[in-house]
Amino acid sequence: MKRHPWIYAILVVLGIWWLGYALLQAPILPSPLRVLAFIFSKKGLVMGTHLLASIRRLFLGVTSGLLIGYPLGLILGTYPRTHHVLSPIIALLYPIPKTTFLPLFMLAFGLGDAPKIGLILLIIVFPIVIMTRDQVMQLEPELFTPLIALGASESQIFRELVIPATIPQLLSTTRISTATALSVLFLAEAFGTRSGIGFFIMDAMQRINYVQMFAGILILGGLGVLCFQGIDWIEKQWNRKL
Amino acid sequence: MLDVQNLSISFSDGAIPFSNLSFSLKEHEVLTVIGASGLGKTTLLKTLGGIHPLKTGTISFNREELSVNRHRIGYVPQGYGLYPWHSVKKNIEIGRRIRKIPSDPELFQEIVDGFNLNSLLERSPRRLSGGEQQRVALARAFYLLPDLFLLDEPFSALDEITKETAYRLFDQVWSKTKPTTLLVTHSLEEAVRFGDQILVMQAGSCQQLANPKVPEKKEALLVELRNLLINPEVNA
Repeated sequence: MKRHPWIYAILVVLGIWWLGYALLQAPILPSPLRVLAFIFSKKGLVMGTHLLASIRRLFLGVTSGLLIGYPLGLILGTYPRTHHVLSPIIALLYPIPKTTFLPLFMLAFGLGDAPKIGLILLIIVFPIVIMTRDQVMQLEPELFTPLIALGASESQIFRELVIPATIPQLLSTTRISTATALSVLFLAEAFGTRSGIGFFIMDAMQRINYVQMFAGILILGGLGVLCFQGIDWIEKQWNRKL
Repeated sequence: MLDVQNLSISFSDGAIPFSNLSFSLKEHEVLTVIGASGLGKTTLLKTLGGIHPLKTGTISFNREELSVNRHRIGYVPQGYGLYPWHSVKKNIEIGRRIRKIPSDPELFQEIVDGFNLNSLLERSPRRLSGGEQQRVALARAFYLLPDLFLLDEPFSALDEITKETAYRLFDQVWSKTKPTTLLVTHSLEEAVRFGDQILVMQAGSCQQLANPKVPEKKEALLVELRNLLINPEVNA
């Protein structure tokens, strides 16, 4: 268990799944063995293109959210004026459920990747801005004093202090944002598209092919686990320095 | 020479604990600043260090207006202000990195040896004891070879045994580079031990005393300081 926590967790989940299948004996819950057999069969290769489409949208959505949200959060946290001007607007827009914008995005940007990436961006950018801003505002003033006395420029203060101090928070925020982005991705791919794991799952459901539906769910779950592991690895590398 | 004339200290909430503060300090001397809490000792250091804006008065160093861009100012805040994402070595080097001053391996080694930091260079400050952090903060400011060295109660968080070692190491390294120094303290012992000049801050006024630094006059000076701090109105 301690040596191989992942193997342990996978076996427990598959065991519970198999137990449910054995007790229920209904087509809605196929055997995990049949689902795994489909994934590793030649037919399962069809999921490859869908998976690539999902990864592309997830990567572009999360990356653009970070590229916009993180610098904006740094600016809001550092400069009180921008905080006073922009934070009330962010506080007003943040609670609005962004998924309701999906139809509008599809009308505006068509049926390609743009509305899906745009929706992910719109949903994750707010928490990234807010968490980064709050982290900067919580930095101890005495961390700034030696640098100011040294005559450090603003870019030097950002490079030496503000950015490294906010990296751990950024990694935590990225983990939460990726989980949110995966949920949003499924929803965005369920409408107006013919590619992506979200589409694959919904299509299999409509075809009453529950083996393929579960295969899609497993793959999407696996993608999430891989993303989390990647972020954890980066976090460990960073924490080794501390 | 550091020359401060008619300086008014104001807190961020606008309160002015001190106005028309004037004092001077020769190059390579130490001025210890002592006084009750809330009189603006830290704010005085922050004003000299360019952290707090100068509202009234003048501050000059060697007849030039004191400026963080023109002069090298080493500032050691109360909590030491070390950066845990940098190793101890990188923390010590930060001043020269910011000011784009070439590194000086010989001086670096001398300071690291002086503060017994050799075995800690690759560690994060987060993994250091309070005494070790204090030594790193001092080493960082010394390695800059500052024109003006500003120390805000650098020994206050140390226990008595660590403090004695820290005093000795500070004395040793300071006497090698001799930066003009302002040291804020709550301890009469530190004020007399380090200060060539002692600035006693009281509510609304201040006195600058010369410290002859001879053992036979130490006790008398301590008594005078005690009287000034405990019964300021009697001595006003």
